[in-house]
Amino acid sequence: MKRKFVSEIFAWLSVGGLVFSAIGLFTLQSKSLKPFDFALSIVSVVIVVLAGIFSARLARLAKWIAPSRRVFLSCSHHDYPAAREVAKALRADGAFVWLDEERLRPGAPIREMIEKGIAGADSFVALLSGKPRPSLLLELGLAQARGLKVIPVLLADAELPSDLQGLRYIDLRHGNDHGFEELVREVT
Amino acid sequence: MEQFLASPIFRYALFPLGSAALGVAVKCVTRNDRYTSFRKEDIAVGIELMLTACLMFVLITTDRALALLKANRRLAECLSSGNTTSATTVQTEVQHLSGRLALAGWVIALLFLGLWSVSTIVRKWGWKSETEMMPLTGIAIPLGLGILALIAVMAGAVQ
Repeated sequence: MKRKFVSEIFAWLSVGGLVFSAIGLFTLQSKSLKPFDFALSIVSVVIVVLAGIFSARLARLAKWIAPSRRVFLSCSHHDYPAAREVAKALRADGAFVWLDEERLRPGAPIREMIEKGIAGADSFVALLSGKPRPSLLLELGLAQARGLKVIPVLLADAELPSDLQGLRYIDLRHGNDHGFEELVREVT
Repeated sequence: MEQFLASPIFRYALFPLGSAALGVAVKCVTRNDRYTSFRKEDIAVGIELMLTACLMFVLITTDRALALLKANRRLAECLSSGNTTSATTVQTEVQHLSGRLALAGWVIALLFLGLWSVSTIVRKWGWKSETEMMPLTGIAIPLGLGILALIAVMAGAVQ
């Protein structure tokens, strides 16, 4: 309680310090500024403050100007070694890869993070081996609802979920290099 | 070229804005490429700009102190040789440099006060989540003060 109070006091002191510092700097250093210089300085400060306020829009604009493919990699825990290989190949070709092993830290809200990952992706790559896991169906539902391009990839003999049965898959069984190339070409 | 570099447009607009843009670019290109290409947090370079301004001002002050030493030596030489016309000019220079040095301590104190204030505000109110910043308190205010600090240092440097 006492610590929180001290922290609050310091925070509000820092606001005062900020105002004092800004006014003081301008008063002490602006003597040599002519009206034109003064106006230019104000314009510069206003430009960066607006850039900060609209930073989210600027980031979206930058993504629109220089687009890069973003891929959501869906895999089960025992497929992580293969998923890392796939992620490495995709990143080498300029794609941004979302892999839960790298993103989900202990204590992270799993569902929220996965939803964010899928929302920011352009394509959904489902790495499949064995029986489909329940979380794959959830992720697949989210990806289809957002209209993402879905690419099934077979790492081993696998039972395809019904939603994926009508889609052509990429075969990475038995270390298929051609399949790797095809996957990279498809998503990047 | 020299005229352009000495012009107010370069000094008070292109230099500070260019420093901010370069800071953003460096932050963006050095990020871990497993994450997204460009995030709004990349624009948060205000504290770096303030620190650059602080260090620039320390260097300018050191230069002024050295210039004052030299001017004092020249003044002593002029007085010993009886050249009063030059002595008056050098004395004016000494007075100007002394005046700037008298203020330097306050400017450095204000710059560091601003740096402390901004870092406290960003820590306290600047973060929306573990990785996401608030646009106003996390990005815009530090950027504004960072640019202001750079402009103040540039303005002081040309006096």
